[in-house]
Amino acid sequence: MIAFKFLARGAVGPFTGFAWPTPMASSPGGWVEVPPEALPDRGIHACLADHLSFWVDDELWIVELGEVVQRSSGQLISSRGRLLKRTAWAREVANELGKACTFRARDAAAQLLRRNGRVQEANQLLGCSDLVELKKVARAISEPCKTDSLANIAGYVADAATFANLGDVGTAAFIVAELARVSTGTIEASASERAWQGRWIAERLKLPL
Amino acid sequence: MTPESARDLACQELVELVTDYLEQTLSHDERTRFEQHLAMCGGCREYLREIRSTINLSRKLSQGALASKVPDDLLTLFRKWKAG
Repeated sequence: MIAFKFLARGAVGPFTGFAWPTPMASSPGGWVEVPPEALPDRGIHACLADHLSFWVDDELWIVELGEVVQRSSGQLISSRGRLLKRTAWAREVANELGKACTFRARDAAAQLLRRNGRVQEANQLLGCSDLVELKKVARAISEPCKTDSLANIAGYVADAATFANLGDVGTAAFIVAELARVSTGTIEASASERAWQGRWIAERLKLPL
Repeated sequence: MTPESARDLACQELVELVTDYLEQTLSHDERTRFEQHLAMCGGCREYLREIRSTINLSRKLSQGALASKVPDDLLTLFRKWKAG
């Protein structure tokens, strides 16, 4: 099956340090296989589009997997896999994702504030056009009262804007998913936000789905 | 709870689980959570790198490579630590 895999620079596994064989000309990279007795503790890890934002790293590859022996929250494990093609994922695309998911959190926070009669603060958030301004405005809303849950929501937006502006997209995406969980009280909201982030990556890069 | 405190808790958890991760005794779901945290936390990635380096360097040491006083000093420190 076709899946996706984030790797560190040079097609290196971010946790294992394993250097993946890369495609040459039009040929895919060589198969990497794991002995059956090592499964599923050791295996070839990859993910589907909905889980991409958990694994953000330097390079994003389209991979082909053999039989999938285990599926879990965010990962597929197979006995073998190979790299098919490197996608156009790059620092600029990562920054776009950070901005897109932070502004989506901004919109959700503004909606909550408006619904609770805090229209002026909602409009202040909606008036922000860049991450630096958003961070400043959201922080100003969040700081006066630490026990105010709506102010706390604005604090999440400020934190997401901070990390997105620093280029730490993985952390910004995590904070936005946490905001969805906290504001709704359901873990499903966090998973749904992660799926939106993954689909954003897939659409932006025109990944095969 | 602020995002920073959520992050701190997860970092503490990772520190507690690092030995099990290196010994490959975490369940599949625990390992996925562990690696999802590593993917977004540069501090914990660095921590794991340091632990791996320490283990690799320790493996290169033989007993003869240590000054005679060092094992006794380490044992004393260990006993004090265990005694609280």
